[in-house]
Amino acid sequence: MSVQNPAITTPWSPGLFRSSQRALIGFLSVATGLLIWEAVIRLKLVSPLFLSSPSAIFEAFWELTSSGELQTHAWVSFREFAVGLSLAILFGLPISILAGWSKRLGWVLQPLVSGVYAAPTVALFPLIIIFLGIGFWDKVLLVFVSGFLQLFIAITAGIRATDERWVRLARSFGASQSKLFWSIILPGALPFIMLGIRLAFGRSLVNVVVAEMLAAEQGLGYMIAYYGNTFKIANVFVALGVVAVLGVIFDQIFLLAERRLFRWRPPVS
Amino acid sequence: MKKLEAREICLSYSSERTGGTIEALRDVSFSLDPGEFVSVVGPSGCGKSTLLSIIDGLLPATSGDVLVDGKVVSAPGRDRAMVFQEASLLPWRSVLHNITFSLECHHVNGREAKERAVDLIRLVGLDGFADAYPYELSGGMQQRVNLARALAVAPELLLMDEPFAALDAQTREVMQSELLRVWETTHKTVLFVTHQIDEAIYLSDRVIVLSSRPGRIAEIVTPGLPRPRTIGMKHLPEFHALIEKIWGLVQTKAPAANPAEDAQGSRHSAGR
Repeated sequence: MSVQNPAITTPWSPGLFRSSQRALIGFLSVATGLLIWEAVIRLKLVSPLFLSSPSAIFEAFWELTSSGELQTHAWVSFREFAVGLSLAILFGLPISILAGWSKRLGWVLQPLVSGVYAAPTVALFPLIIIFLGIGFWDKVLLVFVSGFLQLFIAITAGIRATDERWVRLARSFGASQSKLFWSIILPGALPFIMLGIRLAFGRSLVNVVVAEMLAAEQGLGYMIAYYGNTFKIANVFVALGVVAVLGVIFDQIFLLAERRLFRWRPPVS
Repeated sequence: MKKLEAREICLSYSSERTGGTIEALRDVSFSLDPGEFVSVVGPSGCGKSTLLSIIDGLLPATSGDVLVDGKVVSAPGRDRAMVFQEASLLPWRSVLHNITFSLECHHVNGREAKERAVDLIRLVGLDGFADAYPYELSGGMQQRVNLARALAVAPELLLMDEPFAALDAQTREVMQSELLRVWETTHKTVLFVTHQIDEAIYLSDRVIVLSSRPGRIAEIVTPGLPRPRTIGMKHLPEFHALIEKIWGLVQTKAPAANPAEDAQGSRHSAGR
């Protein structure tokens, strides 16, 4: 009988070598892409009017940050996003868990959610504007709705996917309903809960930007739409870049959190 | 007093597929003395796992009674503990906390539960693996945890549902010897369900042979091999004669039923 030892990482272990190698190759890939892009513009193969260049984008980034414009817009988008998503998690988490746990509540909520989920949430935005006007809370509501739906779909499915054998095990040992919930159902559904939050996160970010592009006077989406209409392509790329970086940063935080939470899972190479 | 008494247990359920009634167990009666090791063998779909679920209190019998120490059983209780077919370990819990799970269900306080789990880890031969997660364990080791978890609640009666079915032949032999060693140290009464006839003979004081559809007791065989048992006994002529005898009982009493329906029947009833 043997045990698979968890990989031991010493400074010179193959694991670390491989991961640093991977980072290096990733970096080189991005750098080469940027160089080719720059070269294409410098050699006038494509007009800079359509496709800005990395150097021009960097310059634009410098201007937009030193004037404080970028920070102002980013902060607006971030607030709409953060408030909407927090509310979605605050309400979505307990409601979805209950709807997965209680069959009857699931029957009530499932058709409603499926109906709304089938439509693209952005399509609700004109309606939301009629209710709330253009400003802060309309975006918050849009993010809330899309985040909530995403959480609901993932979490109810996760709770219902609980392994029958574990339920039988708990019953055999005379576990109470609350013990069953806290020790079997919830930890069993945790990977789905994390997945739901991560998906909700992605959708929310997209929806904030799209909503600001449709109707706003501030925010990164507004920047993209405004500078796009005025042909300041470098500025568009700056705003896009900030959105992408935000997405990547949060995704990494999630991955890190998952790795800590799910140490009980076999490592995926 | 008998440790366990099963009195005329019958189980019928309605089949979702055909709409008819399926009789899974008919008039199953037997009893176990304290400290006895008894196996139940029978063809697959004969209801032996279902019988175990009824004794555990997970599934109500259609008629008949289960008595443990003279008291009628109607729900799972601390006097019985089940060792499941698949190890059914909780993957997010370490070995130690998988073992304490059964104690947590019975509201044993944390420190006591931990101490008991540590003792059991030693008993089942898993020293040094207290903090390992299930995915890091081999099949045999997972079954050791499964056994320790059941023993943790200090049950009077240990119910084992084909615990070694998924193991390879060598590991199964090791686990059989280990089980006997643990049984001899703990003096538990064991009811062991298996479809492996040699396993049943090797382990048991008595072997209950069930026929199939509906499951009825065909015969109760007493191997009469001396204890402690050794692997070498599996090569004795008496041992082979016993296998032949039980094999014959299983074969003749099993009617030619539709095997697909058989499998479905056992799954339906065991799943409740």
